[in-house]
Amino acid sequence: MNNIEENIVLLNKYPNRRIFEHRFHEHLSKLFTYKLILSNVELNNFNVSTYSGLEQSVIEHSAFFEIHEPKEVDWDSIDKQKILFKNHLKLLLQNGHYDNNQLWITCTINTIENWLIYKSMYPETINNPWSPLIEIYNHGLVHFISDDVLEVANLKRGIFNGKNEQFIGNISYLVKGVGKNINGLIVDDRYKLQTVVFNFLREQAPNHKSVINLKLIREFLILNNIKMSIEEIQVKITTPLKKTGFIGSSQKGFFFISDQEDLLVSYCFHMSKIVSIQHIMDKYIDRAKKDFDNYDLNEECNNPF
Amino acid sequence: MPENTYMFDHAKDDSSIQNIELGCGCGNFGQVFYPKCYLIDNNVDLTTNCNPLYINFLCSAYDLPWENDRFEMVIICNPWNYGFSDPDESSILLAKELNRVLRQNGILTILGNKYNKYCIPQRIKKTLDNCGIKYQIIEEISSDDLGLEYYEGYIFKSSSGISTIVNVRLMIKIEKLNEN
Repeated sequence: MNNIEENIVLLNKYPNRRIFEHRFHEHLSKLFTYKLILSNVELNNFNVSTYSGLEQSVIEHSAFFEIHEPKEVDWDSIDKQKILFKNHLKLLLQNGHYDNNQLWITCTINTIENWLIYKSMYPETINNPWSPLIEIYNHGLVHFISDDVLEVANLKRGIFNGKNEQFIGNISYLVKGVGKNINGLIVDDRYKLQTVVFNFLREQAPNHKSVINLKLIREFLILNNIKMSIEEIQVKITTPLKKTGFIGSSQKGFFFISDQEDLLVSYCFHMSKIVSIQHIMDKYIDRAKKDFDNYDLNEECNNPF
Repeated sequence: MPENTYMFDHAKDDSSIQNIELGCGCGNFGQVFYPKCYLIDNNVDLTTNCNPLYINFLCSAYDLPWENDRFEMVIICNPWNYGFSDPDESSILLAKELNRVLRQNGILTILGNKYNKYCIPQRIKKTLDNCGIKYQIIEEISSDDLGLEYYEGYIFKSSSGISTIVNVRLMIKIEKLNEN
């Protein structure tokens, strides 16, 4: 994600969860990497205070994770861009269905500013933690983040129903376009569980020769009164942990990457998966050419909504 | 501890305390380096999450419960989610409130990180200019060793529990030629 739409058109229909759910968790995972690596303090609630603190830590400690030194930030340029985006959003939302536009504008502009700052610091990076939120914005949605239960419940009725009730105290992420429909999600306990499993792997699977498989991770969680299916563990815990770059896997299981050899083992394992998947993709492209009149799968795949 | 323990009460105000740190979090920076200092924050969760807990009062930096011209020094230490990120709006509110509680020629001391959008020196100065507040820059330091040089042994932390890096210090004398 290198660019932000300067003149977006806000979505005029109900915000589909597919637009924002995965991307929002991708954003949180990028922030959360800092907590996993730089602080072993356990996570209680993932509230606004924790979220804000992570934003701050990312900006300040980014040099720990980036290859290049940070560049100076042109604050005048950022101020000018903020004003342009703010005025554009005010214009788009003033004819909308919702009165309290300021909440949405302030939060969205805050994110845009963070993205601009990080991009100024590291123009070539692929690791900008706010890029996933910019993608959501480019799809025509503004957002609001809050842990105030009453405020969130007033905006999105029913968000705390059912099993979500147990996550009250965590941040909620709400989105809207120009219409009156608001969608959103409340952050569940996956980040707390990621901390638990990360520390477990760091101690019990310190390298590629001492691995722990999914079954053992599941048993470990059960011992800690946490019941999850293997699929849930993969989606919510182990795959995000691998994306930090500090947890690897091989055919035998998961491990903490502590040296070059660990990194190589995990890299080669994933490379073999990519090669295997590429064979499948190549077959689909052949079929698209032969049987479906040169249908451009790549182009269609990039615009699923 | 119940939250009302930390509500400000004019009857309990100690006039010998001339300094105040805003947004102290779980830390006690103001009291360690600027003795006779109140520590305030508006985050209610601190009363349950911090151990030890140093905060004196729960209140907002934008609406301080003290009278005009009360303090010699206001200290802001690496703020996040409040401060001077906008050249107008909330930044102006904050600047006016600080101007109100500071005495004539009182000092605003702001420590921060050079990438922290809430306390960039040029934004702070722009805000003060926009408010028509007369001021004089006493000191502006930018140094990666600032924390070690001036505050050795003190660990600055963000609300995520991760340490924060302080490498900019701005000290501003507020001249208060105009009433708010």
